[in-house]
Amino acid sequence: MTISKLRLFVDFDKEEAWLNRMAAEGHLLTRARTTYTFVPTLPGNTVVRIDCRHSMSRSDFEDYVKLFEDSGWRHLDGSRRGGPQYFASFSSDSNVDIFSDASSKAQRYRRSISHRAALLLSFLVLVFILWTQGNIGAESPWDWYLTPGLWDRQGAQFVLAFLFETPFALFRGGLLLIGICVLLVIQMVYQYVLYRREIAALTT
Amino acid sequence: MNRDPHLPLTETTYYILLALIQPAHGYLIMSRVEVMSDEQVRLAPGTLYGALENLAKQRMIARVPSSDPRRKVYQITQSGLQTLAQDATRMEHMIRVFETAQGGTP
Repeated sequence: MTISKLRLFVDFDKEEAWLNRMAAEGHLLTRARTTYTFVPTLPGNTVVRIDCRHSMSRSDFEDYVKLFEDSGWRHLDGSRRGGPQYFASFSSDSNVDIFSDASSKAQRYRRSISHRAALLLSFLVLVFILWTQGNIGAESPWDWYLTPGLWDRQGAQFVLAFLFETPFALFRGGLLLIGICVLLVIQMVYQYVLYRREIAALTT
Repeated sequence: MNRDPHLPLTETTYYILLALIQPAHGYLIMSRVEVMSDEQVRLAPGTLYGALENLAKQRMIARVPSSDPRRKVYQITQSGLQTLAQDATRMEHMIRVFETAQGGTP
């Protein structure tokens, strides 16, 4: 049976540890976009590792995946357009890794930060366009809700309609997009700290 | 003489360049490096991919046409070969100095 889970990770080591625990319990990752999707697998020596890459051409991506396949890794998920790339090894060695030295391993944080920077930039452009077109950012939060007569309703009828429209209202108010931008910035700062930590561990 | 800014090469870079004196795709590089280093250097794919990307950017290696469209094949460039030779000379010198120093102690 396929299962889905919603998680938010910034630390690649913690994300790998969680995915490996899931695999050990018999759930192998097949998709990691907004949520993580798992399919049944035999509980055993599956090792999941995460790389992070920039956007690649079709042939570069094929070559990239092929190199991992040649060395015994199956590509589970990851976009050709950049971002985290998930790989699994089914060998008996539980210490296998996709990186053979600590400095190349630290570089995945750098690529992850620039991937998030590109996302942030596109979100900011979107916010700017929607805002100048008057699609988001109405002055009064009352105006974020468009259901006719919403504020005159009573009791359960009001609560239901209110909750139903709230996600749309947050979008219209601009809070949803601004919230995503703030989240991206926080994640980038945190990943930078993790990157500095791994680099510092190299030189001591 | 002005020293090449890429020197000294890391052990990994040195062996990758050495493996690419003959054209090779990623996995072939891994096995050549493993053999040449007496199994001391074992490259993992994530590390190798990043290293190839960097070496290509520094123009020490370049892509060459291959019969296998799914795997990129690289070969060392003239400038890569020069850097490699300079690093070998550098290490040769270090070994010579070491042996002289050893010979000097009773």
